[in-house]
Amino acid sequence: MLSDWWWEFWSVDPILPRTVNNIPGPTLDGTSLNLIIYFMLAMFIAGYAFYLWFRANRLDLEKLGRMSIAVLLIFWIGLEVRQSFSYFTYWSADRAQFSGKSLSQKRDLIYPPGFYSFCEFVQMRVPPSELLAVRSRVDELTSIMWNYYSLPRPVSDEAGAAYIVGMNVPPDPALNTEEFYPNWWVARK
Amino acid sequence: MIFFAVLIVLLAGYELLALIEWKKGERPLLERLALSYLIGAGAITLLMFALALLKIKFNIWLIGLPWLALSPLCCTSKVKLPRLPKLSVGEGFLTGALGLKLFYVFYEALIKPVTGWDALWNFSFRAKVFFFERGIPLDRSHPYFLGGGMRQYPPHLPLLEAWTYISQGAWNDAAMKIIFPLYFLALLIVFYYCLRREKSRRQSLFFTFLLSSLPLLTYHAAMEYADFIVGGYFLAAVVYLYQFIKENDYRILMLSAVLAALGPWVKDEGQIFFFICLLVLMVARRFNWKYLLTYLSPYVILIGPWIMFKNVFKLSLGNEPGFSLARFGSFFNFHPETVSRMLGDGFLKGNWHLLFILWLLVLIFFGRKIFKSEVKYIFWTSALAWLFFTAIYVFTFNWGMVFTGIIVHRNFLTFVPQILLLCGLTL
Repeated sequence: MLSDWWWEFWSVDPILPRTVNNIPGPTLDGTSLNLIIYFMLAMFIAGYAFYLWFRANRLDLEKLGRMSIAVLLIFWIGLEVRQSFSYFTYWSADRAQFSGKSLSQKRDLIYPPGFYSFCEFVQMRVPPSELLAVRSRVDELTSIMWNYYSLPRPVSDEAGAAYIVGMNVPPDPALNTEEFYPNWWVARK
Repeated sequence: MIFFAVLIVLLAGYELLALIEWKKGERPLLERLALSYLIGAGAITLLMFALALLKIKFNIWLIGLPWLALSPLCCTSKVKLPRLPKLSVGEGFLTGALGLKLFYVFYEALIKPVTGWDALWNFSFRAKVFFFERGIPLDRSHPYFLGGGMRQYPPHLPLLEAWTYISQGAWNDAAMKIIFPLYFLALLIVFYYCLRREKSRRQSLFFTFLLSSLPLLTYHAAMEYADFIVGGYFLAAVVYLYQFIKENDYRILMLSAVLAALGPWVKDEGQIFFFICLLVLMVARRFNWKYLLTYLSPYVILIGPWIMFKNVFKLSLGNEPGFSLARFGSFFNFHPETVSRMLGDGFLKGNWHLLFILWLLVLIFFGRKIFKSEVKYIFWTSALAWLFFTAIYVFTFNWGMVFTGIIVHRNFLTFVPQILLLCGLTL
């Protein structure tokens, strides 16, 4: 059991690096470690208060406060040591993934992998003066990425566009499509 | 040329700081640089906003030259040059830990391009529009009118990002991200010097290390979001408001007012933070009109044009496009259960380590000491900010966000540094 707790303690933060909204924090046997620390802290405060009262027949609140906070800060540092392991894990993963790459290669590694290359392919195929329309069956994030990477080219509806870009849709047999990946293509109308 | 972008920001801030603190005594170089970054970033983006309103296309010299021309102003301020101090083992360890954290934050920010969800569709998206348009599209028929994204959001961050692109002459969204760890560094420095004015070097370093250890803050320092940036301005405004209350130096009050006024330029919450600072000042100085007008003047000058702009373009307040104070009734909800959820998350999740229990213990054991000293004003600023967010979630349509955990912790980023500052100053 202690071994399980040990590995649970060192588990890396399950955060989504794209939008860090909330860090669940460490647990032991599924219980928040913070809760366990509060319990231990309460035990310590009660015990130390009793000790102070027993020794001097009065409660020195400032002394009790300082000692309690000192204990709390030791726990804090313990949590930070654990947290640093998460940072180290993210750092080494990002180093392995991004270090030594060009900016385009780095953009290509971001979700969805290879998407930036597709965007560049579209930019090269469609002259800047021409309008394009998009047919897509992609998730919201890919759609956001497309808007971000395709800037400053405005997107039009199909009626007004000279080119059509297909993202995760089968090529249109009526058009002369040029595929980059299967189902990812560009075509002149 | 990203260093040129940062250099101009620092130069602009340094000059303006010299004007605000005209002939004031020495200030440590690091603190002066941190303040220069905070003020300079706001000054550059306000200048860009003014150029956009005048329909003048952005260019590197137009934005950079005024500050280069004003550089003799830098000579008017006295700087205490840093000497390499003899550190004890503990201080050396804390400095090393802080250095490692800064290394991590800078590395994580600069190693990869923009990945943040809100950045991709809002902040950095707008920055890219401003860069390629060399201005803010003000024509309603433009496909990227006001830059697209959240049009009602203040354009500080997108403009600052656009400034880095303009100074590099290219859309480099990896190098651009240096602005975020620099804000983090500025936050740490301002925090450290506030403590250092009253506490030992070891204690100041220790609490600065604790601030740098807050997990959510560390992650956000390497991300392209605006929450901790508005918190940085709020903290700095509170720090110098506190110093003013203690020392009664008018120039320090003006410094606090400028920093508080720059908060609303980053995010709408900054409006509330400004008025929290103003309220605390009024309570501390018994509603003195002279101080009221002094504190309000930077707000009117710096933020007035943006508020007028919002009115002209009928831009709403906050996240909800249809929201306005006049229509508050239609957005009213009552969800008291959000309070227990917010408290539970604050105490039990991993975002803040043990900060909230530390706050509680400090208030229980040292409350009397806090409320007898000027530190109580720092308590009130953080408590009022916390109450503001609680009210937002209890009484408005935003309550659902507490249960999805989407934004509430990011809101907390704006005022948690003050909680730690209060603890550091009390112990």
